[in-house]
Amino acid sequence: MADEGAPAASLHGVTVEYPSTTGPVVALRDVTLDLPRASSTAILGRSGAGKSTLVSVLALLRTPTAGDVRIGDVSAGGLDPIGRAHLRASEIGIVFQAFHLEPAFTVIENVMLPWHFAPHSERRRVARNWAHEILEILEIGELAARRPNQISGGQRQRVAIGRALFARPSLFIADEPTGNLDEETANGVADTILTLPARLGATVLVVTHDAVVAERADRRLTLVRGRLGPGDETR
Amino acid sequence: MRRVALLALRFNRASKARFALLTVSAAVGMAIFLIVSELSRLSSEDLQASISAEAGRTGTYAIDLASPFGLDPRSLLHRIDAAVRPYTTEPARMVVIIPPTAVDCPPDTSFGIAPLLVPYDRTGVPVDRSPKSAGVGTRLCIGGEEVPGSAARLPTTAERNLWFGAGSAGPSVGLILRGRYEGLALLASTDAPSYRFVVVTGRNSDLSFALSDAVTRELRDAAHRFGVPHVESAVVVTRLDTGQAIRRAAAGVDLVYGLIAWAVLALAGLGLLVAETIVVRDRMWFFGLSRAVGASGRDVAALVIVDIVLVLAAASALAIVLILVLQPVAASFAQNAFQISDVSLLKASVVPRLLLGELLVLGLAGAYPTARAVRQDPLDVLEPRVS
Repeated sequence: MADEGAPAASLHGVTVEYPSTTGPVVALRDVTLDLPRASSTAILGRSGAGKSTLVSVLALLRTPTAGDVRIGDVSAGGLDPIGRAHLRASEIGIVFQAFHLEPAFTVIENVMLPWHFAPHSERRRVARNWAHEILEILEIGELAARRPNQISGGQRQRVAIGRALFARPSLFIADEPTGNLDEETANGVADTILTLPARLGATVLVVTHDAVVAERADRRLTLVRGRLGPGDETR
Repeated sequence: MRRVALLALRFNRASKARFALLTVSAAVGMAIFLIVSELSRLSSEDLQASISAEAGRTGTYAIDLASPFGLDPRSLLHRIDAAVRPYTTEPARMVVIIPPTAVDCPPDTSFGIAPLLVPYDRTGVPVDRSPKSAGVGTRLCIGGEEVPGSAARLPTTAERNLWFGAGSAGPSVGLILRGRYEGLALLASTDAPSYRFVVVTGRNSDLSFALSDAVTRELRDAAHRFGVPHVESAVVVTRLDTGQAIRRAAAGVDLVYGLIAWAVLALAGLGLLVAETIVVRDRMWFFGLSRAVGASGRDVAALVIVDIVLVLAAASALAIVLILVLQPVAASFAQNAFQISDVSLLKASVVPRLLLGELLVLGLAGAYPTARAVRQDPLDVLEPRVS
């Protein structure tokens, strides 16, 4: 990003409406949010509050009905689909509740997936070394040659985290990252998510309904019926 | 693109059985397509050659002019060529027909009277080649003057077919006279010569009126200058080829053969389409994930297309092996069914057809799955739309 002083990402007056048979459904209403660099933010909300929509807008997977999304100092509204894909590839890492690992690929191949679509990418060997390094940082280096069905749920989520960090993103988004994990594993994964990206220089946004996970973030926001609620608090 | 291709390759390595099955199916389709289309082409060529020999080349016309309208042969040929150009890709062939005249030196009577034919080359110059044989093998006199035996010869079957249509025979068609004796023959004849131009259109439909009209228009100004007000009366167009019903039947057989070959290929394409649609449906979440980690719609389309191209490339190689294996069977079939020998299925001419076939299969098998993969909303497959 050109402007180091700008937030890692920001939303300005973002509204998202879905069409439905009974009229448009508003998923996000006039949401404005800045995500300062190297910070961690947790967004809490119940099911149907608009959390996943917020994630999809920030990840540039959905174009808002109104408002502006900026990644660093780049406005996503001014980009064509390929430009948005390139920005997503180079600046955004995302982890979903479901691990979404390709079962036919090894762990390291799953981590390297973004390499295949990166607009400017290094050589395969360099990429592979970096993927190994990420796995070592995530303390699952010994699993590199295994397939997803040969590792545990917590390890799979770490692999998904590794994949999201592969492109050295400035914004790391996790959507209900602990939803499929038991409590002990969820704690370990939450620790990783809220500390590791920051160590690598990324800004973290965690969307969750788990208050324990949210507690570890620098800042917590609440999303209620598509609005960022007044419960904004800073630790 | 290279990195996306590597990913597609990795997928195929991960599901070898699927890849092998699709490759074999496509290869069998391609091999049958190539064999049927090649046998069809060979039998069609054989049939056309037989028809041409028996009934003349398709769309052969004789354009007879009673007069050159004051034009020299080169100009005349040039004008006829210009007139018939919209109907043929071949230049017109010209022959001057000198009316029947006595050619025997007394007291011989071998030939009696016979027309003399002077062919012209494509630049409008009379052909003056001496015959390979000893000519007519008798003493020849033109206008009472003895000329060498090599001055004239009997036309070959090909020449008779060319100038007068297939099936024309006997000495009545005349003798071919060397160009250098044309002037002498013209002096000896009491009647004016006629000028015949042979045009091959290659089309089954009757173009007699069109050709007559075109030639008339082209020569009208020359005819007026020459004092012939109604040029139409001096232009006669005759169709020389026969057997139109056989030609239509042959064209029908060609069409059926072609349809069978392409239908086999289309079936292979449809089979691949079904398989690829299932593959795309199963991989939909992966395409969504790819979009989430930075793939553009173009990358996703490339993933699907490269997947099919890999199958087609392997299938083409396998099809060539299959053709090599089936070559003796195809050759034996061609010999027994069409009496065609020396059949070679693998020739350079196969390559464009193979590529065209691959494009058809790629289009059939790739268009829908690619569109489906590209249009898929990544969020629908990555997260249920609950909030």
